[in-house]
Amino acid sequence: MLVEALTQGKMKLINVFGEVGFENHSEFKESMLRNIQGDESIIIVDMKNLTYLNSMGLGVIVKAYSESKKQGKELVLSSLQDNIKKLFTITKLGRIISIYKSKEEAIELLSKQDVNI
Amino acid sequence: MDSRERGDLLKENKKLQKSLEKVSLQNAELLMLIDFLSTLLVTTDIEKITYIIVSHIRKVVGGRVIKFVRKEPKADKYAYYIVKDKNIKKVFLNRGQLGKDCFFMYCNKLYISYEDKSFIAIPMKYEGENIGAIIIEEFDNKTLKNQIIKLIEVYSLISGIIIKNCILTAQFEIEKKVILEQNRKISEDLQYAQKIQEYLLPRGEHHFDNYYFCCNHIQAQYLGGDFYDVFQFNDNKIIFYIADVSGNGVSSALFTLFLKQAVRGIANSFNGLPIYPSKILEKLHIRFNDFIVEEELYIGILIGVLDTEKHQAVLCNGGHNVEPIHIKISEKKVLSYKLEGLPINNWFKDLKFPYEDKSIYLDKNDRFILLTDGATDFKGRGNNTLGLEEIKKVLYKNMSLDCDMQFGGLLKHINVLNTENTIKDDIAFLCLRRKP
Repeated sequence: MLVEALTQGKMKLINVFGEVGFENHSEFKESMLRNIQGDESIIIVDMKNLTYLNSMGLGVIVKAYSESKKQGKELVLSSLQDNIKKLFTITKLGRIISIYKSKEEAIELLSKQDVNI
Repeated sequence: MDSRERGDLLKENKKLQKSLEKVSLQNAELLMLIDFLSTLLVTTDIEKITYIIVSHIRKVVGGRVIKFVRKEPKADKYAYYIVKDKNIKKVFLNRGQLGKDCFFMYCNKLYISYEDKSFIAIPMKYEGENIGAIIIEEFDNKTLKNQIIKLIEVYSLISGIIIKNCILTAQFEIEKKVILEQNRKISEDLQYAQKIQEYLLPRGEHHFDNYYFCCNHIQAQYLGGDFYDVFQFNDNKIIFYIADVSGNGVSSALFTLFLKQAVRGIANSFNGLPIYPSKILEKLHIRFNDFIVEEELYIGILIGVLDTEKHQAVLCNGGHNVEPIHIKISEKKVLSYKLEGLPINNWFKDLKFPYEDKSIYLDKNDRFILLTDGATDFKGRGNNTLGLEEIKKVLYKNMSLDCDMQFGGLLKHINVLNTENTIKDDIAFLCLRRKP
């Protein structure tokens, strides 16, 4: 599992690679919580290269989402693989956290929003 | 050659001889230093190192009495050696017991006294830390040359590093022992806890009127977060559920205990009232919110209320991520139901999603199977996930087998694909069958 982040204006793009399971969910949590810090008002977590997310990993996403919300930021997800998308559908989390087909779509649509970008 | 030339040659010769003596002395010192270093490198035993240092410094300086104080691996403990001729006395001291001889440990430079009682005190440091000191008494101060003093200073520098290294190695060994002991105790405790959890999560069969239930599980870790329970609510209603507390370990295992007590307690509160799984989950959600836990800890649960007279199972999903499987024997079909619902969590206090019930009819001999994601997410050859569709195929193949054999068949299939001889996540299995 690898988490890398880059900033584009007021947006932060977090790319997650590999698998999040029992062995590395703590590392994932640490990386996510560290990466949501900063001045960016929108955080896009791109999961194009995330192949597996276990239940605790899902909890980490929720934690990152709540923490972002507390800081007045918007955390969204993009490019979810089918197995992970299913997890968000079953748990109804997909109705709470915005999910975009791709990071490009997320960037385009969120840029149009009336936020201070 | 005239006499003047011969005189010059003699002078030159003497000069060369002096240089040669100097080089030979330096060579001897260098050899001693190499010998000192190579001896020190063969061991990390602090006692042996101490004796090597004492004997080498004695070789260089001489002296009848040598006192050596140094730090011990234990905090605020010191070892104090007095070497007189061939006798060695060693005592352990606390910081408060350090006498005047030990004062030199705190000096920054080598100290030489040429008074009636001549001695040299050599402090040993490591990056400013006072490691120890050697005090050499009753030595021949006439033979003490600058060259020797410089050599002693090099010795003291090396000795400081080596002793510090020994102390760190010994401290590491002490800590390793403590950690291993703690680890052993925790492992023992976890094994006991696993036995308790096994007791709370029984494998086996339950018979209720014309229904047969079979429960089984395999655990990947000592303590797991998978759970199931089956109990009679009233004359014609059976409550059953499968759940997966996120993560594993002590906290998840303890939440399975909470789950068992909470679901049974909530069910009792419907005594005499119509009971629906969605209502149970709503109440469970409220109870769960009494706990202040991290977002990573939540429960995915799929619960059903079976009417043994109407042969109707009402199901509700609270974020359980494996679809329930229905084996329709008469139609020779294996179906799964897409049920959605928010897990039991404390994620969003202000958000409320109603839980939805779904009703299914169970025909004679039909099987209804609930599984946890240890089965669907199992990774076999080529790192491929087993998946629900593959599981449905296995169950279809074993359609005629009874519930316990179905689980056996599934495990057999997993074992064939398993390349590591271990499973990474728990698998829990609950199967019910309507009797013919």
